[in-house]
Amino acid sequence: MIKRAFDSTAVKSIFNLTNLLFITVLWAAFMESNFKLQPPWAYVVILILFEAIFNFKIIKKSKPLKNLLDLYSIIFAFFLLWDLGSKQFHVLHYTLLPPPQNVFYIFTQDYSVMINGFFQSMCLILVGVVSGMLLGIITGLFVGWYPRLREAVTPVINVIASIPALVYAPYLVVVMPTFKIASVTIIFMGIYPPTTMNMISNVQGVDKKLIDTARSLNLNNRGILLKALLPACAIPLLGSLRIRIATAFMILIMAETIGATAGLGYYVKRWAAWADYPKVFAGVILIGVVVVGINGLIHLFETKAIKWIEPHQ
Amino acid sequence: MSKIQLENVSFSYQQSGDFSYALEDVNFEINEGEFVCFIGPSGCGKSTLITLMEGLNFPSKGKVVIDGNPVSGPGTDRCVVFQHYSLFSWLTAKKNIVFGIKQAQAGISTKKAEEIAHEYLEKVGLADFGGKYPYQLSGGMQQRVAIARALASDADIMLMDEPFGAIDTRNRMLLQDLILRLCENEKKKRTVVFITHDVEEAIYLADRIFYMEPKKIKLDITVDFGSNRERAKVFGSERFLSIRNNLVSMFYDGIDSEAVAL
Repeated sequence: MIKRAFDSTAVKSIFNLTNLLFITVLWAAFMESNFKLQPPWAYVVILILFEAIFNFKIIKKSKPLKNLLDLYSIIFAFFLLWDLGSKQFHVLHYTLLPPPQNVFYIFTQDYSVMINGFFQSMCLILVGVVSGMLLGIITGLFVGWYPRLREAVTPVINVIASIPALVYAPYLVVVMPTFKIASVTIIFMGIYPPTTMNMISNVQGVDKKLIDTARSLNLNNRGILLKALLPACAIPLLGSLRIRIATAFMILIMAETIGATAGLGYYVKRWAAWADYPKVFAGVILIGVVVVGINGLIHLFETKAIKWIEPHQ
Repeated sequence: MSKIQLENVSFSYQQSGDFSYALEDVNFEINEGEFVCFIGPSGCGKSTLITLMEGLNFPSKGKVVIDGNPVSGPGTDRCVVFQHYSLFSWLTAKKNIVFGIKQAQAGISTKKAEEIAHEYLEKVGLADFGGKYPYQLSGGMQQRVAIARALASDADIMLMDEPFGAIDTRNRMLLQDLILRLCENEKKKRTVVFITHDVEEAIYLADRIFYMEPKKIKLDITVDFGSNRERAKVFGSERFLSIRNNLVSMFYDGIDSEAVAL
């Protein structure tokens, strides 16, 4: 009985729809078409990478087999439809819908420009997010703790935070001496007010019993702020970090389409203007990968830094 | 000499407008080393009394005097255990205690504080749980850590606001025995103010019981079971039954008239 059950899982993990799709998508990658194709090797490497991750996860049993089959079937089916749609069915003209091999080929050609753009963008995002969040946390901590300050400042911050930071972009790009300073300022404007608002309500939401405990442990005001309120707000703060970085990314990419000379958003914008859509597609994929990577890093940081709540899988 | 003294204390949470007192003209004295229980229906002002003694609130009228000085805020001579686990969730059990010790004894070295913390974790039977975070401990264990933190701070006065109120019966018994044992075997005899709404708990633990009715103290009962109490002996004694019946009938008086009103 047990041996048969084992065999059927083993068989399923090799002969399944996902692997069938993988073979098909590989075959499609080497198909010719009536327009100029780039060498498919970069694309094939990506496909093999997905297949390798798929098999690795089956062996590791990190998820139920059927979920893995579903997920990777969708991925391969997506590539297959894209490839056939472009090369065989000509859904759109091939300049508008380039086949995946032409798009992934760009990464082998433009990687130095891309890496440079990545660092340019990340640098601006980091400066903007770190300064905006640090100042927002400090302001929110003080404003949230002192009722008089809170009553006075909260309405003002509410108004400022409700203005989308992007509306400052056309103005700041002109006023600021360099594009870098302008975009850091815009990101800061998109991060600081919501962080402050968030922090004010976090501090207000801290259980009064915790503050009583802190006071009965003879903490003074400074001690309460730093040793009780700040750690008590750490979890919602880390939770908001992901949203903040996503916001910063959106702001920067938009800002880069206005006045930059390098960066991830600039790359997309520039080649869209030249109607070089393989490069546009490549740029979009790169941005997606970077955002997913950053989210992964934040998640890793959360699990390493916060050990005092129940880990949830 | 009396350790804690309340003179004509009235207290209201609102300071202006149309307000009523949570406590009105309360007077009592607690002697050094006494274990005093405050008991009474909810809303009678028991917890308010603790906040006044701790210095988290100040009387609207009258004064709270500890060791001859009026209370001007929380101090290292007093420590508190609240009903709801008042541990810092971001510190391990041991670090919570170390934090308390460092706050109480400025300038103490971390190493020394850790030694003391470990000693008190042993006393409450949690020597192996020092590295655990509060979420990894049961409610009873968390409360034991809170008690250890309070004891380790070496304060003369322990203020306990329904510390076992949210704990199941079995653990509650264990904790009652623990607190009796710890308070008796310490080098110095601590003064304990303990709030509860459990009549039997009060009799078992206290040297003196204050029965409270809304806003004031109605009765001051001396419980003379002495030290090294044994649960079975205390609970089986005539004296226990008479105090218990007395207190229960006090509680019941209120219920009776409310039932009639309904």
